[in-house]
Amino acid sequence: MPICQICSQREASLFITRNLNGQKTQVSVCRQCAAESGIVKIDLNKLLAGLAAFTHAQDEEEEKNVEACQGCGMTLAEFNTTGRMGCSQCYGTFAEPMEHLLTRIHGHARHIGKHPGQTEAEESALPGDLERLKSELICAIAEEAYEKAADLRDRIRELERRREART
Amino acid sequence: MKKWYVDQGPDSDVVMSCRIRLARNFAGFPYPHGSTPEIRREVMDRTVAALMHGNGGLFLQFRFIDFTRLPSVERQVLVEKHLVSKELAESKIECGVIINDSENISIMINEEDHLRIQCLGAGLQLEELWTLADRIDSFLSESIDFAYDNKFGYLTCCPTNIGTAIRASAMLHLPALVMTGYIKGILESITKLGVAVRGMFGENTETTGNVFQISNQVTLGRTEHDIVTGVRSLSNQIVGQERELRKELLAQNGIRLVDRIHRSYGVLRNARIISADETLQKLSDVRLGVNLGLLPGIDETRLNALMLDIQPGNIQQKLGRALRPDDRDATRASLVREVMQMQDL
Repeated sequence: MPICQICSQREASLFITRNLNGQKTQVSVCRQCAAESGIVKIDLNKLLAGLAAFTHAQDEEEEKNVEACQGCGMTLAEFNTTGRMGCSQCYGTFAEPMEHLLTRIHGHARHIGKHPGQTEAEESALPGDLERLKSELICAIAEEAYEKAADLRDRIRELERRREART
Repeated sequence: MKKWYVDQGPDSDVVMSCRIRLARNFAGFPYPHGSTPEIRREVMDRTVAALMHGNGGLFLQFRFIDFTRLPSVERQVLVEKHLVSKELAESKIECGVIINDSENISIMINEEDHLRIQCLGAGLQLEELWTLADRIDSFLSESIDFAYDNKFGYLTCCPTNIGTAIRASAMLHLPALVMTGYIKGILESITKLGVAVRGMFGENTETTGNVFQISNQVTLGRTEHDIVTGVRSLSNQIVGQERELRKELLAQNGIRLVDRIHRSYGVLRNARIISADETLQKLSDVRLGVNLGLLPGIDETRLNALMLDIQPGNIQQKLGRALRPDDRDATRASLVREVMQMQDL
């Protein structure tokens, strides 16, 4: 294991290639020195914002950047720097880029869990979801998206298992 | 009433504690960071009213702690007890926490989200804690309209928490996996399964004393039940491997392991100055010794209490005054000696 180039004591765990005036140099540092020296700042907010920005660039819809949320006035450009939403309405205002972002983060963009006012009797029943998942499964198989299909199959099984457990 | 953190729970030879956290926001209000002092105050008042003056549906006794008037040492104590996050303790805006008598339920108000409902327990009992958190959430939603979207689920300030907005986590003590080096592979494969590994005090904290916190990363597109059982069964697997390795270490390298445990015990019993970090490292060895039956005089729940008592905030609260780091280390050493010498071997 290489040793950290800054403290020469701890094991290096981060390897950074830096491009200085066309000259590439590799630096091996431990996590602690990396944080203290500020060589790498791993900021979750920026990371999220980066994902959203990427989505946005793909969409090539420039006007989205200036569209502001009616609830709090946040713009997508602001989200790109903070990684935080301003209010709950933001999700509706930016539904399309959010759907992309959420799929990247969670692998899904649709909630299947608890909802407010849910009574114990209807807990986990959610018949509408089951029908929807089944039709999504048929589409996934038709598109030969087998990884997605396997995932859908698992979720259908889970819902059916829970529905049976209830009856 | 016995506090949860000195209690003993299922699988507590490896799982020190576990936690369920739900994020909830008031519909129609901006999230705390971009809100106004008046709205943040209203969020606090309405939450307190819903829980404390509700018609007793939960049969629990709560107290509200307003952070705007709370000294920083006392905030620190709440962090060390895992009742509030570091972020809430350092917050400069109107915020607070509601805690019940046995301190196994805490509801942070105006952290990143309006509400963070947390249920804590000793050992591994995530399903039970989810049932409790679920009940508290349902009770609150009778009087508070939570931000919810049919497609995205519960809406949260950060998109990483959206959907179920649940975080299930377990605090694992894994000395044998660390000693043998197997921990690296385990941590790598865990991360691939969509489970995050952190230090003792959550996000951005280092692992000390061989304690690791694991928790789910995905919150959307899976049911709460799925997520909770996922983290629980993964913890079960790690518990199994840690136990096997402990036995193997003892069988193959017995005298060295026993020596290490007793040396650490010796340090704790005799040190005059000791840092929190060193104490946690040595306590890890002593805890392992207790689990392996090598230190029969020591009660595991005493170690749990000690782990809390030696933290900087708790030491200062106990003494009732602020201490310089040097004095803190001396006070800590005498505290540790006291507990260790009480155990008659």
